[in-house]
Amino acid sequence: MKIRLRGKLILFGLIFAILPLGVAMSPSILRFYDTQRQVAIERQSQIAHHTAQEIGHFLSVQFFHTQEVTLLQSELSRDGVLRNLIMERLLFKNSAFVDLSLVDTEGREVIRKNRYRVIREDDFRDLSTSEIFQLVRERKIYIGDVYFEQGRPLFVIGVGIYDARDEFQGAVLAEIDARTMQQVVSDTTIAQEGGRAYVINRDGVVVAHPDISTVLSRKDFSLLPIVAALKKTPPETLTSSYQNELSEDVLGFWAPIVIQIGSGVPTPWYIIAEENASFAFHHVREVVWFSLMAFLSVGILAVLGALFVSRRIVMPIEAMQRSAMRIGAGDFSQRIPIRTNDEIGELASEVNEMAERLQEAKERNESVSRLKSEFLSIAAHQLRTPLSALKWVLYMILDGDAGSLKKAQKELLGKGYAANERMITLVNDLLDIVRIEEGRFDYKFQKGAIAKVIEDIVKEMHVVADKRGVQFFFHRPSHALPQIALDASKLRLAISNIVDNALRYTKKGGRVDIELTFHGKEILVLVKDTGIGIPKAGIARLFTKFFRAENAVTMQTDGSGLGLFIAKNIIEKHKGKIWIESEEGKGTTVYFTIPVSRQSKNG
Amino acid sequence: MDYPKEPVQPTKQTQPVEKKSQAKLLYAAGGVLVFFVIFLGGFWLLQEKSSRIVESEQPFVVVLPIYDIPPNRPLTAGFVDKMEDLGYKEGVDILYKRYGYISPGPEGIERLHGIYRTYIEEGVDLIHSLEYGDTNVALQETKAAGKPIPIVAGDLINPVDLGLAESWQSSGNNLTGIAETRPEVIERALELFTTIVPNIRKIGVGTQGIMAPGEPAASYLKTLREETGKLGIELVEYTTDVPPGPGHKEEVIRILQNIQEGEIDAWVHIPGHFFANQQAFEHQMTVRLKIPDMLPAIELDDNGEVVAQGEAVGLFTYGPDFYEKGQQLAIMADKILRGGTQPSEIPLELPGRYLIMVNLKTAKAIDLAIPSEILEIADLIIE
Repeated sequence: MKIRLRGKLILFGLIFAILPLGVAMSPSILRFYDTQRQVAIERQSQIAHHTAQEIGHFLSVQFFHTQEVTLLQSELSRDGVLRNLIMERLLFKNSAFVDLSLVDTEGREVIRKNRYRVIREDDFRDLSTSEIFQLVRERKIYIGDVYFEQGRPLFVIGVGIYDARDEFQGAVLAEIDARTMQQVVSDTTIAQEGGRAYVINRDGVVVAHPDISTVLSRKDFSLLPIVAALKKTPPETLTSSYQNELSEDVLGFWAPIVIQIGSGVPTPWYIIAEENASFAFHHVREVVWFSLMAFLSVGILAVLGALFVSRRIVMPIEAMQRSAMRIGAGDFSQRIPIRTNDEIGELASEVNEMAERLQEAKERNESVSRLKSEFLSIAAHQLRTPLSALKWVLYMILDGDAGSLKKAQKELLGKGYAANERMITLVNDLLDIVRIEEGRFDYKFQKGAIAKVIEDIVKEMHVVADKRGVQFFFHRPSHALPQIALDASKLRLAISNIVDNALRYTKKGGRVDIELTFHGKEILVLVKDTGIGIPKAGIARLFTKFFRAENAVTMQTDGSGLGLFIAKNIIEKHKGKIWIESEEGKGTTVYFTIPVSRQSKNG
Repeated sequence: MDYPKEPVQPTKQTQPVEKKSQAKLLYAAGGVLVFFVIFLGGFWLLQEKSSRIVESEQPFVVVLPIYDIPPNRPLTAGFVDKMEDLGYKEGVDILYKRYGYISPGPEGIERLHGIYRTYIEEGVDLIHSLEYGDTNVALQETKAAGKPIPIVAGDLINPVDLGLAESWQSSGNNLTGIAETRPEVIERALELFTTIVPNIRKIGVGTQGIMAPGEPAASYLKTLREETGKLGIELVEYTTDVPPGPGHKEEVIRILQNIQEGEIDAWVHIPGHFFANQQAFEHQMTVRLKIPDMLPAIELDDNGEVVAQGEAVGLFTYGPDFYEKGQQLAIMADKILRGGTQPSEIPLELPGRYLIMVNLKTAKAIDLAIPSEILEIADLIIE
């Protein structure tokens, strides 16, 4: 692929401007991305742990409220009315409590209050065999998973009651509205721009969420990668970015929720803090955008720089190229208008000097050529007159005007006559060449039939062919050809030269064929012989003056080497083309075309 | 052409051709690059800016509950206020259809069908209904029109039992909202009410002809009958045969005015009545007789005959905060309008909280001392 110098300069500028910038900036951007990712994960980690602490604190407060019952246990056991009032008060004063009950040492409820329902003695439960009672008896605190009751998410906590002697006195159970945890995760979500926090249980079911609908519709997030990570043994704390249930790319972190009582009591819940990747990486995006803009700006500067440099370097070179082209095309008067005081200026000056020398050489050549033509013209004219006179003298003697001749005299004079004829032909050819080169080969184009011209030539040359024992055929087309603009005499000369060559260099018994065919826009004439052919090395020079192939000279047939030169000039003047195919020893075919569309006019 | 082509002549010199300058092309390429940079920069700025632009297309059209229309009704006020908090500026982002109050009787139901039909034909984005009656009409009309326009209801009672929804998790249709399982709460409210006034033997209620037929009044009355029976309290029902319409309000007021001292020890207002401020006239009667009254939710006086307009009436209430319910509904409406969530994907929600309200003004008016244990647990004490 050819790339212009200006293009190369621009490419060079772009590559050497953007490449180092890219190499320098890419690691920084990647490092910045990594840093931002770490910061986002760290932020989510902190949010997750903080929210887990908040939820843990909330649960601790609920246990603290149940322990109020523990503190009042002695009063509660004495007076039924007082017990009722205290339980009612404890229930309503804690907005998260839905149900509150006191259990005796045997696991039976002795009093129970519900925020929405009237609890009668029939409703008291025997919890002696329940998991919650077994646990609290062992001085453990109980927290159950979330369950739903008529659209309300609830969970139960339980704690044992022990007296001063550390003897088990019963237990307090509280049913808590899980929606109260929503406030904690909502506050976190509001505080966390571009992210959210929510609570799931071990099965991945949402327990608390900023959108209460997610909890009430019992959404199962177990398929989320972060939930799968926390369910592993041991759990994976670090998670990569993933798509959440809304198909958003997020960075997430989870943390277990632990109740802050004693050394910490695990719950069946986990907090997940998520941040939208688009938000987490918005600084990275800005940097990438900035970098892209910088790349483009540098690219534009590089292109503009290259254009500026090209104005200083490439434009003079292009000017020199244009001048060199004109000089190459023969306009030696062309000069490069560059006057810079540098290498380009020196080069331009040298090219101008070269053009000067070429101009001088051209003028010398033209002068010599003119002198040569004048010489040829004068010589030919000077030769033709005596040769013509000699011709007539010899003709008259041979014709017996000077008396009868002996056979030997006649043969000698006949050879002299023939030699004189060849000299006249040569002189005529020379005069034609002089006229051609001087542009004085007056053409008179008229509408005419090329077939008629060829027929006349065939008639004339048939005698020669017969004399040489060469078969000579003219294959005319079956249909009439269109008339073309031609100078019949000049075209006759051209075709005669071609046919004469074919007959001249074809040995006895050989064959010469002329074919005339019509091809839409042009007429093709081919002259094919089975003659000596032309060596490959000679084909290229066939149409130059005085050229004769080696085998032609060896054959010792006479010839000036001007016929094809004249033929080519005449055919090209008819807007036609001529070319040759030949194989040494097998024959030669000369092709030429004449267009049919050329208007008749003198050329 | 079927003849041999002219071969290239080796001696022929290839003429040099003058090349055209590429400067114009390169300047054009530079121009394109500059344009590209400006375009990218503009795109970036636009993107940054567009993330801050709040969508401001055609305003949403929302029908407000026709059974809750008088000014300052807490449910509607909570809804409208919260919508404004969520960025729905009235007249710009949202247009409210406020028809005006319609009596819930059979005639009112018929009118309601026509009103909702007209709104649906006009093309509203959301219907905010109140209770079973108007919600059911809205459901029927949207179904009949083949346009599942979302409906958010503020005060449904037992929606699954009444066939309005398939389950609490999903209505299975174009309805969502706030719902309750009220019978249990009525029982609990009655228990708390009798704690305030332990000597109640007879409770008066306005039933046939005074309360609106159907839900929510029917289930409320049924529960009340059962629970008073359990507590050994006689339920004195006041009725009228005067149909809703001209003279009905005067008839109800006449019945209330004719209740004599000693006939009843307390009064319970049944939700669902034929005229807007019926509870105020009932309260006027209880003050006259110096007996306590209980209402299912905080009710406001709308005509100022007994207390200042917009103040809570009644002595005691244990029920949901309707203003908060309105706010809850607004969040649901936002999910539907801007979030594009289907109502069936939004589970029915219980009210956020139930309030114990004690009105000390009323207590003073009827010379009643409120026990301290009730005052201690009360969420709202009107002094």
